[in-house]
Amino acid sequence: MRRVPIGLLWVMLIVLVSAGGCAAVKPWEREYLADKIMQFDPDTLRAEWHLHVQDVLEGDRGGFNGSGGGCGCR
Amino acid sequence: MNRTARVRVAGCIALLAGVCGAVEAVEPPQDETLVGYNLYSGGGLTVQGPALIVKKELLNRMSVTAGARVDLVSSASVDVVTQASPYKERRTEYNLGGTVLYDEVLTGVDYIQSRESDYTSDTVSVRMTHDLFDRNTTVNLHVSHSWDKVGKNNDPSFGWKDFNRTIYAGGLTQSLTQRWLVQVNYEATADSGFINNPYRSVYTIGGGTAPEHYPDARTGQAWVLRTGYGFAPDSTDELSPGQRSSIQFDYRYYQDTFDIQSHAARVLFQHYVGTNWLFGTSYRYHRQSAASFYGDRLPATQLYKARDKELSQYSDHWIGASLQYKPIGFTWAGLSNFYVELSYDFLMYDYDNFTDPRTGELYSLRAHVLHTSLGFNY
Amino acid sequence: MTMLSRTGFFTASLIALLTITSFAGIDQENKNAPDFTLKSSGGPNVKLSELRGRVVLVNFWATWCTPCKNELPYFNTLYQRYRNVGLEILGVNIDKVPSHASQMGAALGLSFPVLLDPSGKTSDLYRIRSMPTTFVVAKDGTLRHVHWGFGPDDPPRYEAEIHALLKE
Repeated sequence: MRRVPIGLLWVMLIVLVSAGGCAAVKPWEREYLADKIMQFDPDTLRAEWHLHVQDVLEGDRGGFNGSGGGCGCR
Repeated sequence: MNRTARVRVAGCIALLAGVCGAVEAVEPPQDETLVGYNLYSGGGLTVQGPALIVKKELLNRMSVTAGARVDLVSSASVDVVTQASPYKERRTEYNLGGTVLYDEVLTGVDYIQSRESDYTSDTVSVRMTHDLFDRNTTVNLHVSHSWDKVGKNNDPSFGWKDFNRTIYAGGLTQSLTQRWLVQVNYEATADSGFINNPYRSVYTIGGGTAPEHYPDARTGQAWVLRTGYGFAPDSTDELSPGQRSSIQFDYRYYQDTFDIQSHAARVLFQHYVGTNWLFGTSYRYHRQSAASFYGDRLPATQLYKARDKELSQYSDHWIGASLQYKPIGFTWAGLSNFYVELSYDFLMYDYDNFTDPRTGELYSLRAHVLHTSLGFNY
Repeated sequence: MTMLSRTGFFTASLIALLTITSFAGIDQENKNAPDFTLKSSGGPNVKLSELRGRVVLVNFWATWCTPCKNELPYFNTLYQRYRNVGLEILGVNIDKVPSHASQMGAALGLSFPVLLDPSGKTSDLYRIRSMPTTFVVAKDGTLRHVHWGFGPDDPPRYEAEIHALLKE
């Protein structure tokens, strides 16, 4: 198999954190990010079903497993 | 009997482990119930059934999530009708998970069980999510392992063969501005054991058939980049929400030891209409190259042989739309925050090197995916 | 080392590293609660230091924050129960559009003052990390307890803290 560019993940990590300036958005400024339409997979059941259909029909898989953003609430 | 649906369905539970009972990194789940109905119909295969998730917040910043889904399969797909006979079956899946929040770290454990007459799967997954830099950065880590058993209906001599899957996944989400979010994910999947379908045969050169035979190990990697941006209007008279529209873009690159390489890109646009309605539309394009041992017709002497169209070279399009209605302030019997959603996707798959044995032509698939759900807090 | 065991090692080390570094609390307790003056949605300004002699709950909330919507009715009940024996609750709202705060306050029937901090200056002063956050200030103006978020654990904690501080 082709050489795995595992260093790619580290590069992406560093670039993103630097680009974001670490703390660009204050906790009280998260009004827009708290909105459901800013979530990557807002409706769990629908996202599950679509991923499931793709798994059934396609030979590739994985990658859509993250979470983050959101209102920053507890 | 065609087992495309079942092998892939049960064997990919581990992938769903991250989504079943998924929580926002920055917020423990609210007391919520989601109840839905799913439908897939296309290429002679129909899968439909109900799904349910119940989430409850407990003391000490812990939560528990339980879910179930039933898939009723009715298959007369191209593999089924050319190599066996149409069948009906039921697959049931249960999941149970819990999370605990300590300071900025959310840790979760999930167990998922799937059962059908010729396939069983048990998956355990562990997730950890850590918020950094005032919650601007979220790091996700996820490890899961599945213990599957592959059987064959009407053939007791086949017994039960083991199939194992391990997934390692990591990702990072970053708020770049108040309206712009970016996420990168990496996921490695390692399969071992009986990977192919016990029912499928390949066509050999010179006429005749031979059973499929895959290597007993497969490792794949996916790299995903996602970004979302929100548009706000100038006038914000409504009580909520603050955002009126958003656009999201995903891209995934995948490669594995079967020599499959794929690219997938999706665009999603969502827009509020008034305070109660949310409209969404999406388009996805996906392109995949074939496994090195895949062939429409193969030499009988070739060691590894596959004729599963999922491992062929093809491209596909998904076009979808969704509508959600959320009556603000409506409560009933102590339940609140209701919403109802309906979504429809039209799928077009065109295969470059998989032919329909009935016609001798390259195969094309057109399918419909429907989902509806109701959610509420209790 | 195979590629996959390298990945596994990488993932495991990251988990270990993140667990160790997860303790990032801000220790503000037992110092004087930072003073502020904010306009209330009802009109008059409210200054924290003028409330010395009362136990004050300084609650930071937003209309877009889901746990806040569970917390506010509870605070309303708490206020009605203890306001006559020395409890004050200030609901500092940080929405960019102040009218959203007034509308939600009216919809929920809040009886305690809703203060408006759309610029986020007071939130910055209190180094808010998440929404909601509530600071429990004693009669002498010192910050005694911090509640990050709102969950089933919080009501009994508030009861115990308020009882103890009202006795001082």
